Amino acid sequence: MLSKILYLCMMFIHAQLNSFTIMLDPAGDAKQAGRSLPNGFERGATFQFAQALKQQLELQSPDINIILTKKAGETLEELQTANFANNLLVDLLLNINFYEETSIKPSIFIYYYQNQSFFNQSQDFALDFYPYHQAFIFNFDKTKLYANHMQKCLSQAQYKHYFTCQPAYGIPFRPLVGIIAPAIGIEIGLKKNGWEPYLQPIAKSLSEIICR
Amino acid sequence: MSLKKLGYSLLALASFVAGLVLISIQKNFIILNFNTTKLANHQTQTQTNFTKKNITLWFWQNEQWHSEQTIILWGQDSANNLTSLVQNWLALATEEQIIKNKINLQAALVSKNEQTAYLSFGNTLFNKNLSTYQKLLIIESLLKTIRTNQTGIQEIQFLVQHQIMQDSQLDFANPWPITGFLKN
Repeated sequence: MLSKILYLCMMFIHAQLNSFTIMLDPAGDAKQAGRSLPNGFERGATFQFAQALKQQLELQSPDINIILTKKAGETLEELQTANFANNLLVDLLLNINFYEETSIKPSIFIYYYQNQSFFNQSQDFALDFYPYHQAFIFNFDKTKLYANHMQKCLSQAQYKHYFTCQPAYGIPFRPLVGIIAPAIGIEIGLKKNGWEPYLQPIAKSLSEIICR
Repeated sequence: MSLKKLGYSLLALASFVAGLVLISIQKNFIILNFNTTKLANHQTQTQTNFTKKNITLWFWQNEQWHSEQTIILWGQDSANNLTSLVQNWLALATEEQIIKNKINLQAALVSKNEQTAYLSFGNTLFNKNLSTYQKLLIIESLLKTIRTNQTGIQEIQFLVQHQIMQDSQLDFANPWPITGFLKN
Protein backbone atom coordinates (compact mmCIF):
# COMPACT_ATOMS: atom_id res chain seq x y z
CA MET A 1 0.00 0.00 0.00
CA LEU A 2 2.81 2.41 1.03
CA SER A 3 4.80 1.54 -2.07
CA LYS A 4 1.72 2.23 -4.19
CA ILE A 5 1.26 5.67 -2.58
CA LEU A 6 4.99 6.45 -3.05
CA TYR A 7 4.75 5.31 -6.67
CA LEU A 8 1.74 7.57 -7.24
CA CYS A 9 3.51 10.53 -5.57
CA MET A 10 6.62 10.01 -7.71
CA MET A 11 4.50 9.74 -10.82
CA PHE A 12 2.60 12.89 -9.86
CA ILE A 13 5.83 14.89 -9.37
CA HIS A 14 7.25 13.43 -12.57
CA ALA A 15 4.06 14.26 -14.46
CA GLN A 16 4.16 17.85 -13.20
CA LEU A 17 7.78 18.32 -14.25
CA ASN A 18 7.20 17.11 -17.79
CA SER A 19 5.28 19.03 -20.38
CA PHE A 20 2.95 16.28 -21.65
CA THR A 21 1.85 13.09 -19.92
CA ILE A 22 0.25 10.17 -21.71
CA MET A 23 -1.27 7.25 -19.85
CA LEU A 24 -1.47 3.97 -21.76
CA ASP A 25 -4.19 1.63 -20.61
CA PRO A 26 -4.02 -1.87 -22.14
CA ALA A 27 -7.32 -3.82 -21.97
CA GLY A 28 -7.55 -6.84 -19.67
CA ASP A 29 -5.74 -7.73 -16.47
CA ALA A 30 -4.81 -10.75 -14.34
CA LYS A 31 -8.49 -11.58 -13.86
CA GLN A 32 -9.84 -10.74 -17.30
CA ALA A 33 -8.15 -12.34 -20.31
CA GLY A 34 -10.34 -10.40 -22.75
CA ARG A 35 -11.22 -11.55 -26.27
CA SER A 36 -9.51 -14.45 -27.97
CA LEU A 37 -7.13 -13.45 -30.78
CA PRO A 38 -5.39 -15.47 -33.53
CA ASN A 39 -2.26 -15.73 -31.32
CA GLY A 40 -3.51 -15.77 -27.73
CA PHE A 41 -5.71 -13.43 -25.76
CA GLU A 42 -6.37 -9.70 -25.76
CA ARG A 43 -4.75 -9.18 -22.34
CA GLY A 44 -1.25 -10.27 -23.43
CA ALA A 45 -1.31 -8.57 -26.83
CA THR A 46 -2.50 -5.19 -25.53
CA PHE A 47 0.11 -5.21 -22.76
CA GLN A 48 2.95 -6.02 -25.18
CA PHE A 49 1.67 -3.38 -27.58
CA ALA A 50 1.50 -0.76 -24.78
CA GLN A 51 5.09 -1.52 -23.73
CA ALA A 52 6.34 -1.30 -27.33
CA LEU A 53 4.37 1.92 -27.89
CA LYS A 54 5.88 3.42 -24.72
CA GLN A 55 9.41 2.65 -25.98
CA GLN A 56 8.60 4.01 -29.44
CA LEU A 57 7.13 7.25 -28.06
CA GLU A 58 10.06 7.74 -25.70
CA LEU A 59 12.41 7.47 -28.67
CA GLN A 60 10.35 9.87 -30.79
CA SER A 61 9.67 12.45 -28.06
CA PRO A 62 12.09 12.10 -25.10
CA ASP A 63 10.58 15.03 -23.20
CA ILE A 64 7.14 13.48 -22.72
CA ASN A 65 6.08 11.31 -19.82
CA ILE A 66 4.46 7.95 -20.52
CA ILE A 67 2.77 5.89 -17.83
CA LEU A 68 1.31 2.40 -18.06
CA THR A 69 -1.78 1.83 -15.93
CA LYS A 70 -0.69 -1.64 -14.82
CA LYS A 71 2.19 -4.08 -14.67
CA ALA A 72 2.00 -7.62 -16.01
CA GLY A 73 -0.09 -9.84 -13.72
CA GLU A 74 -1.68 -6.90 -11.90
CA THR A 75 -5.43 -6.54 -11.41
CA LEU A 76 -7.27 -3.24 -11.50
CA GLU A 77 -10.64 -2.62 -9.92
CA GLU A 78 -13.38 -0.80 -11.78
CA LEU A 79 -12.72 2.97 -12.03
CA GLN A 80 -9.16 2.51 -10.71
CA THR A 81 -7.70 3.61 -14.05
CA ALA A 82 -9.94 6.70 -13.99
CA ASN A 83 -8.80 7.39 -10.43
CA PHE A 84 -5.10 7.16 -11.44
CA ALA A 85 -5.61 9.37 -14.50
CA ASN A 86 -7.55 12.00 -12.52
CA ASN A 87 -5.01 12.07 -9.66
CA LEU A 88 -1.99 12.26 -11.95
CA LEU A 89 -3.57 15.02 -14.06
CA VAL A 90 -2.56 13.32 -17.30
CA ASP A 91 -2.90 15.16 -20.60
CA LEU A 92 -4.14 12.17 -22.58
CA LEU A 93 -5.27 8.63 -21.81
CA LEU A 94 -5.11 6.00 -24.53
CA ASN A 95 -7.06 2.80 -23.92
CA ILE A 96 -5.87 -0.06 -26.16
CA ASN A 97 -8.16 -2.89 -27.30
CA PHE A 98 -7.77 -5.71 -29.82
CA TYR A 99 -10.23 -8.09 -31.45
CA GLU A 100 -9.92 -10.84 -34.04
CA GLU A 101 -10.53 -9.39 -37.50
CA THR A 102 -12.72 -11.52 -39.77
CA SER A 103 -12.83 -9.10 -42.73
CA ILE A 104 -10.15 -9.18 -45.44
CA LYS A 105 -8.87 -5.71 -44.60
CA PRO A 106 -8.37 -4.91 -40.91
CA SER A 107 -9.99 -1.86 -39.31
CA ILE A 108 -9.02 0.56 -36.57
CA PHE A 109 -11.79 2.17 -34.54
CA ILE A 110 -11.37 5.28 -32.43
CA TYR A 111 -13.81 5.97 -29.60
CA TYR A 112 -14.29 8.71 -27.05
CA TYR A 113 -16.79 8.73 -24.19
CA GLN A 114 -20.23 10.26 -24.60
CA ASN A 115 -23.53 9.28 -23.04
CA GLN A 116 -27.18 10.21 -22.96
CA SER A 117 -26.71 12.76 -20.15
CA PHE A 118 -24.47 14.82 -22.44
CA PHE A 119 -27.43 15.69 -24.65
CA ASN A 120 -29.40 17.00 -21.67
CA GLN A 121 -26.50 18.92 -20.13
CA SER A 122 -26.19 22.68 -20.46
CA GLN A 123 -22.69 23.74 -21.52
CA ASP A 124 -21.98 26.21 -18.69
CA PHE A 125 -20.09 24.32 -16.00
CA ALA A 126 -21.22 25.79 -12.69
CA LEU A 127 -19.63 24.81 -9.37
CA ASP A 128 -21.56 21.69 -8.60
CA PHE A 129 -21.27 17.99 -7.89
CA TYR A 130 -21.00 15.91 -11.03
CA PRO A 131 -21.50 12.13 -11.08
CA TYR A 132 -18.53 10.11 -12.35
CA HIS A 133 -20.23 9.24 -15.62
CA GLN A 134 -20.31 12.97 -16.47
CA ALA A 135 -16.56 13.49 -15.91
CA PHE A 136 -15.95 13.51 -19.67
CA ILE A 137 -17.88 16.73 -20.28
CA PHE A 138 -15.08 19.00 -18.96
CA ASN A 139 -12.67 18.12 -21.78
CA PHE A 140 -15.17 16.97 -24.36
CA ASP A 141 -14.17 19.39 -27.13
CA LYS A 142 -10.46 18.68 -26.66
CA THR A 143 -11.10 14.93 -26.65
CA LYS A 144 -13.11 15.16 -29.84
CA LEU A 145 -10.35 17.23 -31.44
CA TYR A 146 -7.65 14.70 -30.48
CA ALA A 147 -9.78 11.77 -31.66
CA ASN A 148 -10.51 13.40 -35.01
CA HIS A 149 -6.87 14.33 -35.44
CA MET A 150 -5.77 10.78 -34.69
CA GLN A 151 -8.35 9.45 -37.15
CA LYS A 152 -7.08 11.86 -39.81
CA CYS A 153 -3.46 10.74 -39.23
CA LEU A 154 -4.39 7.06 -39.45
CA SER A 155 -6.44 7.60 -42.63
CA GLN A 156 -3.43 8.82 -44.61
CA ALA A 157 -2.88 7.28 -48.03
CA GLN A 158 0.29 5.45 -46.94
CA TYR A 159 -1.71 3.25 -44.52
CA LYS A 160 -4.73 2.58 -46.75
CA HIS A 161 -3.14 -0.54 -48.16
CA TYR A 162 -2.81 -2.08 -44.68
CA PHE A 163 -5.91 -1.01 -42.76
CA THR A 164 -8.99 1.20 -42.76
CA CYS A 165 -9.38 3.76 -40.01
CA GLN A 166 -13.09 4.26 -39.31
CA PRO A 167 -14.52 7.65 -38.22
CA ALA A 168 -14.15 8.53 -34.53
CA TYR A 169 -17.33 7.72 -32.59
CA GLY A 170 -18.55 9.24 -29.33
CA ILE A 171 -20.18 6.32 -27.53
CA PRO A 172 -20.64 5.11 -23.92
CA PHE A 173 -17.26 3.31 -24.04
CA ARG A 174 -16.89 1.66 -20.65
CA PRO A 175 -13.06 1.73 -20.23
CA LEU A 176 -13.21 5.56 -20.43
CA VAL A 177 -15.89 6.13 -17.77
CA GLY A 178 -14.97 8.67 -15.09
CA ILE A 179 -11.88 10.14 -16.77
CA ILE A 180 -11.66 13.94 -16.72
CA ALA A 181 -8.65 14.26 -19.03
CA PRO A 182 -9.03 13.74 -22.78
CA ALA A 183 -9.40 9.98 -23.16
CA ILE A 184 -9.41 7.99 -26.37
CA GLY A 185 -10.03 4.29 -26.90
CA ILE A 186 -8.58 2.51 -29.92
CA GLU A 187 -9.73 -0.89 -31.06
CA ILE A 188 -7.64 -2.71 -33.62
CA GLY A 189 -8.69 -5.72 -35.67
CA LEU A 190 -5.83 -8.21 -35.49
CA LYS A 191 -5.01 -10.91 -38.00
CA LYS A 192 -2.36 -13.62 -37.73
CA ASN A 193 0.48 -11.14 -38.39
CA GLY A 194 -0.11 -9.59 -34.94
CA TRP A 195 0.02 -5.97 -33.72
CA GLU A 196 3.46 -4.97 -35.08
CA PRO A 197 2.18 -3.27 -38.30
CA TYR A 198 0.10 -0.82 -36.20
CA LEU A 199 2.82 0.32 -33.83
CA GLN A 200 4.49 2.90 -36.04
CA PRO A 201 1.27 4.54 -37.35
CA ILE A 202 -0.22 4.89 -33.86
CA ALA A 203 3.02 6.22 -32.37
CA LYS A 204 3.19 8.75 -35.20
CA SER A 205 -0.41 9.87 -34.72
CA LEU A 206 0.20 10.34 -30.97
CA SER A 207 3.38 12.33 -31.64
CA GLU A 208 1.40 14.64 -33.90
CA ILE A 209 -1.19 15.19 -31.14
CA ILE A 210 1.63 16.04 -28.70
CA CYS A 211 3.15 18.47 -31.21
CA ARG A 212 -0.19 20.27 -31.58
CA MET B 1 -95.63 -37.36 16.96
CA SER B 2 -95.41 -38.68 13.40
CA LEU B 3 -95.78 -35.09 12.13
CA LYS B 4 -92.85 -34.05 14.31
CA LYS B 5 -90.79 -36.96 12.91
CA LEU B 6 -91.68 -35.92 9.36
CA GLY B 7 -90.65 -32.35 10.14
CA TYR B 8 -87.23 -33.53 11.42
CA SER B 9 -86.78 -35.76 8.41
CA LEU B 10 -87.56 -32.87 6.01
CA LEU B 11 -85.19 -30.55 7.91
CA ALA B 12 -82.43 -33.18 7.75
CA LEU B 13 -83.04 -33.68 4.01
CA ALA B 14 -83.04 -29.89 3.36
CA SER B 15 -79.79 -29.52 5.37
CA PHE B 16 -78.23 -32.38 3.42
CA VAL B 17 -79.23 -30.86 0.06
CA ALA B 18 -78.02 -27.39 1.14
CA GLY B 19 -74.69 -28.89 2.29
CA LEU B 20 -74.38 -30.78 -0.99
CA VAL B 21 -74.96 -27.58 -3.01
CA LEU B 22 -72.50 -25.58 -0.90
CA ILE B 23 -69.75 -28.23 -1.17
CA SER B 24 -70.37 -28.43 -4.93
CA ILE B 25 -69.90 -24.64 -5.23
CA GLN B 26 -66.79 -24.78 -3.04
CA LYS B 27 -65.23 -27.60 -5.08
CA ASN B 28 -66.24 -25.90 -8.35
CA PHE B 29 -68.62 -28.73 -9.32
CA ILE B 30 -71.23 -26.02 -9.71
CA ILE B 31 -70.06 -22.69 -11.18
CA LEU B 32 -72.24 -19.66 -10.69
CA ASN B 33 -71.63 -16.82 -13.13
CA PHE B 34 -73.89 -13.80 -12.72
CA ASN B 35 -71.91 -11.54 -15.17
CA THR B 36 -71.92 -13.74 -18.25
CA THR B 37 -73.33 -11.08 -20.59
CA LYS B 38 -71.08 -8.32 -19.22
CA LEU B 39 -67.92 -10.47 -19.58
CA ALA B 40 -68.77 -11.33 -23.16
CA ASN B 41 -69.19 -7.64 -23.96
CA HIS B 42 -65.84 -6.80 -22.30
CA GLN B 43 -64.08 -9.45 -24.34
CA THR B 44 -65.49 -8.07 -27.57
CA GLN B 45 -64.42 -4.54 -26.58
CA THR B 46 -60.85 -5.66 -25.79
CA GLN B 47 -60.59 -7.46 -29.09
CA THR B 48 -61.64 -4.38 -31.03
CA ASN B 49 -58.79 -2.30 -29.43
CA PHE B 50 -56.16 -4.36 -31.27
CA THR B 51 -55.31 -3.56 -34.86
CA LYS B 52 -52.99 -5.27 -37.28
CA LYS B 53 -49.84 -3.25 -37.83
CA ASN B 54 -47.17 -3.69 -40.45
CA ILE B 55 -43.81 -3.30 -38.69
CA THR B 56 -40.27 -3.03 -40.06
CA LEU B 57 -37.45 -4.94 -38.39
CA TRP B 58 -33.88 -3.77 -39.03
CA PHE B 59 -30.55 -5.55 -38.85
CA TRP B 60 -26.99 -4.90 -40.07
CA GLN B 61 -25.38 -7.57 -42.20
CA ASN B 62 -22.68 -7.60 -44.90
CA GLU B 63 -21.84 -3.92 -44.39
CA GLN B 64 -25.38 -2.67 -45.04
CA TRP B 65 -28.80 -2.26 -43.44
CA HIS B 66 -31.45 -4.88 -44.17
CA SER B 67 -35.11 -4.71 -43.28
CA GLU B 68 -37.94 -7.19 -43.05
CA GLN B 69 -41.67 -6.50 -42.82
CA THR B 70 -44.00 -8.43 -40.56
CA ILE B 71 -47.52 -7.98 -39.16
CA ILE B 72 -48.21 -7.88 -35.42
CA LEU B 73 -51.22 -7.03 -33.25
CA TRP B 74 -50.91 -3.42 -32.05
CA GLY B 75 -52.92 -2.31 -29.04
CA GLN B 76 -53.25 0.62 -26.64
CA ASP B 77 -50.68 -0.71 -24.15
CA SER B 78 -47.17 0.55 -25.06
CA ALA B 79 -45.42 -2.17 -23.03
CA ASN B 80 -47.30 -4.94 -24.86
CA ASN B 81 -46.52 -3.37 -28.23
CA LEU B 82 -42.85 -3.05 -27.30
CA THR B 83 -42.76 -6.67 -26.13
CA SER B 84 -44.16 -7.91 -29.47
CA LEU B 85 -41.77 -5.67 -31.40
CA VAL B 86 -38.64 -6.76 -29.51
CA GLN B 87 -39.63 -10.43 -29.53
CA ASN B 88 -40.06 -10.32 -33.30
CA TRP B 89 -36.71 -8.56 -33.67
CA LEU B 90 -34.99 -11.15 -31.43
CA ALA B 91 -36.47 -13.97 -33.52
CA LEU B 92 -35.21 -12.34 -36.72
CA ALA B 93 -31.76 -11.58 -35.25
CA THR B 94 -31.39 -15.21 -34.14
CA GLU B 95 -32.57 -16.48 -37.53
CA GLU B 96 -30.07 -14.24 -39.37
CA GLN B 97 -27.33 -15.23 -36.88
CA ILE B 98 -26.79 -11.64 -35.75
CA ILE B 99 -27.20 -13.06 -32.24
CA LYS B 100 -25.59 -16.47 -31.83
CA ASN B 101 -27.49 -17.75 -28.79
CA LYS B 102 -31.24 -17.81 -28.37
CA ILE B 103 -32.17 -14.92 -26.09
CA ASN B 104 -35.58 -14.27 -24.60
CA LEU B 105 -37.12 -11.01 -23.51
CA GLN B 106 -38.02 -11.34 -19.83
CA ALA B 107 -39.91 -8.07 -19.48
CA ALA B 108 -40.55 -4.82 -21.30
CA LEU B 109 -41.78 -1.92 -19.21
CA VAL B 110 -42.51 1.67 -20.12
CA SER B 111 -42.26 4.57 -17.66
CA LYS B 112 -45.35 6.58 -16.73
CA ASN B 113 -44.53 9.41 -19.16
CA GLU B 114 -43.98 6.78 -21.90
CA GLN B 115 -40.50 8.21 -22.67
CA THR B 116 -38.23 5.58 -21.11
CA ALA B 117 -38.46 1.86 -21.80
CA TYR B 118 -36.81 -0.88 -19.72
CA LEU B 119 -35.92 -4.04 -21.63
CA SER B 120 -34.83 -7.00 -19.54
CA PHE B 121 -33.28 -9.89 -21.47
CA GLY B 122 -32.57 -13.41 -20.25
CA ASN B 123 -28.92 -13.13 -21.28
CA THR B 124 -26.54 -10.62 -22.84
CA LEU B 125 -27.05 -9.87 -26.54
CA PHE B 126 -23.36 -10.12 -27.40
CA ASN B 127 -20.87 -12.85 -28.09
CA LYS B 128 -17.73 -12.30 -25.99
CA ASN B 129 -15.37 -12.02 -28.99
CA LEU B 130 -17.31 -9.37 -30.93
CA SER B 131 -15.71 -6.00 -31.61
CA THR B 132 -17.23 -2.91 -29.99
CA TYR B 133 -18.48 -1.76 -33.38
CA GLN B 134 -20.30 -5.06 -33.98
CA LYS B 135 -21.91 -4.76 -30.55
CA LEU B 136 -22.91 -1.19 -31.32
CA LEU B 137 -24.54 -2.31 -34.55
CA ILE B 138 -26.63 -4.93 -32.72
CA ILE B 139 -27.89 -2.25 -30.32
CA GLU B 140 -28.36 0.20 -33.20
CA SER B 141 -30.47 -2.41 -35.10
CA LEU B 142 -32.79 -2.74 -32.12
CA LEU B 143 -32.98 1.04 -31.58
CA LYS B 144 -33.66 1.62 -35.28
CA THR B 145 -36.47 -0.97 -35.19
CA ILE B 146 -38.13 0.70 -32.18
CA ARG B 147 -37.56 4.18 -33.65
CA THR B 148 -38.98 3.31 -37.08
CA ASN B 149 -42.18 1.84 -35.68
CA GLN B 150 -43.12 5.06 -33.84
CA THR B 151 -43.53 3.84 -30.31
CA GLY B 152 -42.91 7.33 -28.90
CA ILE B 153 -40.09 6.03 -26.66
CA GLN B 154 -37.10 8.37 -26.31
CA GLU B 155 -34.58 6.28 -24.36
CA ILE B 156 -34.00 2.65 -23.46
CA GLN B 157 -32.43 1.10 -20.39
CA PHE B 158 -30.92 -2.29 -21.23
CA LEU B 159 -31.09 -4.94 -18.50
CA VAL B 160 -30.16 -8.60 -18.10
CA GLN B 161 -32.09 -10.57 -15.47
CA HIS B 162 -33.48 -7.21 -14.23
CA GLN B 163 -29.94 -5.92 -13.51
CA ILE B 164 -27.96 -3.41 -15.60
CA MET B 165 -26.45 -5.13 -18.65
CA GLN B 166 -22.73 -5.70 -18.13
CA ASP B 167 -20.23 -5.55 -20.97
CA SER B 168 -16.47 -4.97 -21.08
CA GLN B 169 -16.67 -2.34 -23.80
CA LEU B 170 -20.12 -0.74 -23.70
CA ASP B 171 -21.56 1.11 -20.73
CA PHE B 172 -25.25 0.43 -20.06
CA ALA B 173 -25.41 2.15 -16.67
CA ASN B 174 -27.44 4.97 -18.25
CA PRO B 175 -30.34 4.72 -20.70
CA TRP B 176 -29.42 4.83 -24.39
CA PRO B 177 -31.09 7.48 -26.57
CA ILE B 178 -33.44 6.07 -29.20
CA THR B 179 -31.41 7.91 -31.86
CA GLY B 180 -28.33 5.83 -31.00
CA PHE B 181 -24.72 6.99 -31.12
CA LEU B 182 -23.75 6.22 -34.72
CA LYS B 183 -24.95 9.46 -36.25
CA ASN B 184 -21.58 10.80 -37.43
